[in-house]
Amino acid sequence: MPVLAPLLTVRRLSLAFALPQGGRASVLDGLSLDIAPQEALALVGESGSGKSVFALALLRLLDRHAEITDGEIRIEGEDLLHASDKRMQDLRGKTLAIIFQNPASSLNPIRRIGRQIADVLLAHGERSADAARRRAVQMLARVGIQDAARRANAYPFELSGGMKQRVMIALALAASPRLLIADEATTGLDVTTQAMVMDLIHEQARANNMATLLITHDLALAAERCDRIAVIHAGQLVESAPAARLLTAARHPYTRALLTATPHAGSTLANLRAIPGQAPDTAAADLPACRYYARCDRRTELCKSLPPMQTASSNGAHVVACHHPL
Amino acid sequence: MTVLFQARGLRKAFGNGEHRRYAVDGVDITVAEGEALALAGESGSGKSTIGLIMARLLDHDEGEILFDGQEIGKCSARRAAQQPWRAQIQMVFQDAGGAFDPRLSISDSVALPLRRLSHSRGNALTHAVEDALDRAGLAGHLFRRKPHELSGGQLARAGIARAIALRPRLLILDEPTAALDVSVQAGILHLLNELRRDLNMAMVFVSHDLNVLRVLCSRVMVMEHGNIVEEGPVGRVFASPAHPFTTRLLAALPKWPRSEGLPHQLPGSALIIHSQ
Amino acid sequence: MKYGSSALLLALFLALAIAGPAVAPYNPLAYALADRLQPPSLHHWFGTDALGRDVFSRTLAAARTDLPAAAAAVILSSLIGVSVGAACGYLGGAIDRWVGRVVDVMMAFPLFVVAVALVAALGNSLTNVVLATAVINLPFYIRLVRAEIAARRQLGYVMAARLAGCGHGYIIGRVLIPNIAPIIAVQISLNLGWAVLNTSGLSFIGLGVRPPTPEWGALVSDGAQYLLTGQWWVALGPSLVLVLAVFAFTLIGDTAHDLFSPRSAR
Repeated sequence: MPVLAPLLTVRRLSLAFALPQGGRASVLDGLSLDIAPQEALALVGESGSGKSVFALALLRLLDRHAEITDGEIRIEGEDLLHASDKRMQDLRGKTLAIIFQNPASSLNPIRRIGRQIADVLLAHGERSADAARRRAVQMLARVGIQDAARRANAYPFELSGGMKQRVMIALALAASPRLLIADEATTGLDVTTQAMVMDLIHEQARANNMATLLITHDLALAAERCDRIAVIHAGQLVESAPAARLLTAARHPYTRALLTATPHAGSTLANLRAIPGQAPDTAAADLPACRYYARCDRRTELCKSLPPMQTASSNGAHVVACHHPL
Repeated sequence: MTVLFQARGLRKAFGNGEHRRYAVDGVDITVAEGEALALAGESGSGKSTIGLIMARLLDHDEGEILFDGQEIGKCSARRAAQQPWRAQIQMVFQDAGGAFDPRLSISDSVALPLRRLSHSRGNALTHAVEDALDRAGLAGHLFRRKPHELSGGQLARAGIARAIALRPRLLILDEPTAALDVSVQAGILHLLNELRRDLNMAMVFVSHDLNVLRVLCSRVMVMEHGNIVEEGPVGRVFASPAHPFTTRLLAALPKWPRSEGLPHQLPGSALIIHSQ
Repeated sequence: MKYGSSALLLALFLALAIAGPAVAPYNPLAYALADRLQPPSLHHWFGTDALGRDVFSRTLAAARTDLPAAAAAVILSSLIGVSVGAACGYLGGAIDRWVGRVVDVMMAFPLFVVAVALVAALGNSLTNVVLATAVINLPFYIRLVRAEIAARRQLGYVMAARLAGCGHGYIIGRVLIPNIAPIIAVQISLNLGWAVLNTSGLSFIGLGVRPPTPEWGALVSDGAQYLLTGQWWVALGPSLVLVLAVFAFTLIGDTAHDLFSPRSAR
């Protein structure tokens, strides 16, 4: 396989939230991640793992309680953390785009959907309002909205959930980004709608040579739809591997536990197991070096004090951060 | 097999005039004593409406409902609270947090049905509350907490504790784990299965998550647009669905690679471990 | 700062009403024709009126009329308004529609005019001023409570109470109303200020109390005649105290709002 220069490089990214009652919560801890051009990567984690914060950090859309304490983010070689606000505005949409879980609240309720897409086009260099409107209709047709010329005049409330998510995708794709981030974009949708939306994202990614970052809690969805999966637990990346390998040959105890907790077509109740305990409070002063420590059945004293050791397969495709991997 | 609950020809419409639409349109349901029945469907299929009608929290427009051979559908949902069968049909809600009065401690909320319906008082009441919470696997130090001080998984356990405190014979569960992380969900699924077995409760699971229903239930009813389109043993329906909608539903589930063979394996990614 | 000052003002007005006559320098009803229309001085802080009565003592004494009258009106309208609003919000249906219409019709009139008409119809007495004040405040309680209860009647914990065998009375009285009590408390404290203003407003135009009973609105109205002839103090003292009273209750309501609503509390 040809080695491509990564599209996105994240190195040792650490991020903390200032808490209202004082103190800080370490939300991301030394996260490193690459996405190759046209690659589909899934970032899988449970609620509170920091996966959505990571997406917002990539777009620099964090609120002011959040502070990036260490690390760097580069997209196509450009340093994102030190880019000017003006430059960031340009990059959002044109290079990086995101679709969120709740399309209903991400669309402007009082503006026709065609107009909203045209707005994005106009913000990213399109001069003529007429041309923008025509392209907006094309975009809607491309994401599978039938009778797009008429539907472009619809308001968001006139559309179903799956339809709104299609509009969100059209919006995100309007300025032909290099990387599309889908943050729980199909959570809460019916499985049949989810399948359609995921198919659409996949098609569009292939047609536009776009990389995708799928942020999800659903390992099965990640495995089916992505080339590679990275697993995050309490702000730490614990393992990343090609999708099928992660599901069949996981090496991190947390990934293994997550797999045995996920019901799938081959599951029986007997082989389904919960993960004991819960993720640690990231505001605690005495966080162990490996944040899975308290829940782990392979822990030793080492895991408490020494940051987890990174081990990679020979081709570097399978990386695990653990002192005692399986 | 003893029939515990039976509904025939259930219909329920919402809306007025030209917006009137049947959410449940002629449904027959039979639940056997101690059975685990799955009610599967997508949003808007009417499955939650059926759950509420079965729990007698919502009135139906047409059809009859028999519980333990007795007609209970004639009594309106507004007057269900005073009926002798109230204690025997209970329900667990999806949003466990919202199902607890924010002002009351967990044990006070669990005590409420015991106080009102089995008229327990004093030590017997305390004992019954603690027994239910213990069975649901909630740690003792959480009993006196307010709902907002509990995690999602703990609240789910508390909601189950309240529903089983009266030892109902029929328990309706509406998406009981939909809001939970999988690591927590697995524990709740085991709990529900054990409770059903130990207390011989019939359970009706209303859910869109076929993988959850698959591990928990023996029989499934698939709903679409207010109708039951397919019904049968879980293993058979999921392995060889007969109705096109069921087929579509199953096909839309993300595939889980089998452990033998790696379908999407990248070339040259044989695993060799560096020992650093 | 806000919490402290609102608590302080409330304490001040309660003290005035309770201890007023004991600390008042003069008898509020005693004439002293020799001292008529004296400007404010060390002896008469707010000056004296046309009959030589000490305006400060009369203002103090008026607190005993206005505050209980306002409180009585608020208690009355909150009790009735909460009950009616809760029933409408919980039961819905025909009752709700009819009550809603009546409330809408009431709100279509200027409420002060409604109060004047009510007192005129019922008879000119302080009791009827209280009644009229209570009636014109009813729509606010009914609307508020109706909306809050209707928004909650399908919530999980209400469903759970139904499953627990609780009747509708229990659910309204022991589950729903306690959960909206903070919202009602805010409404009550804001409402106290309006009620004071309404009571004194009615007295200002000559309804309710009869002279010589001291009452803020009547005192202001008394003093207003002397504004043109240059004796500004007769109206100024009672006016300031009235403004301060309304301000105090509004501030308390605002504080209660801050304390009870989780979003603005942080």
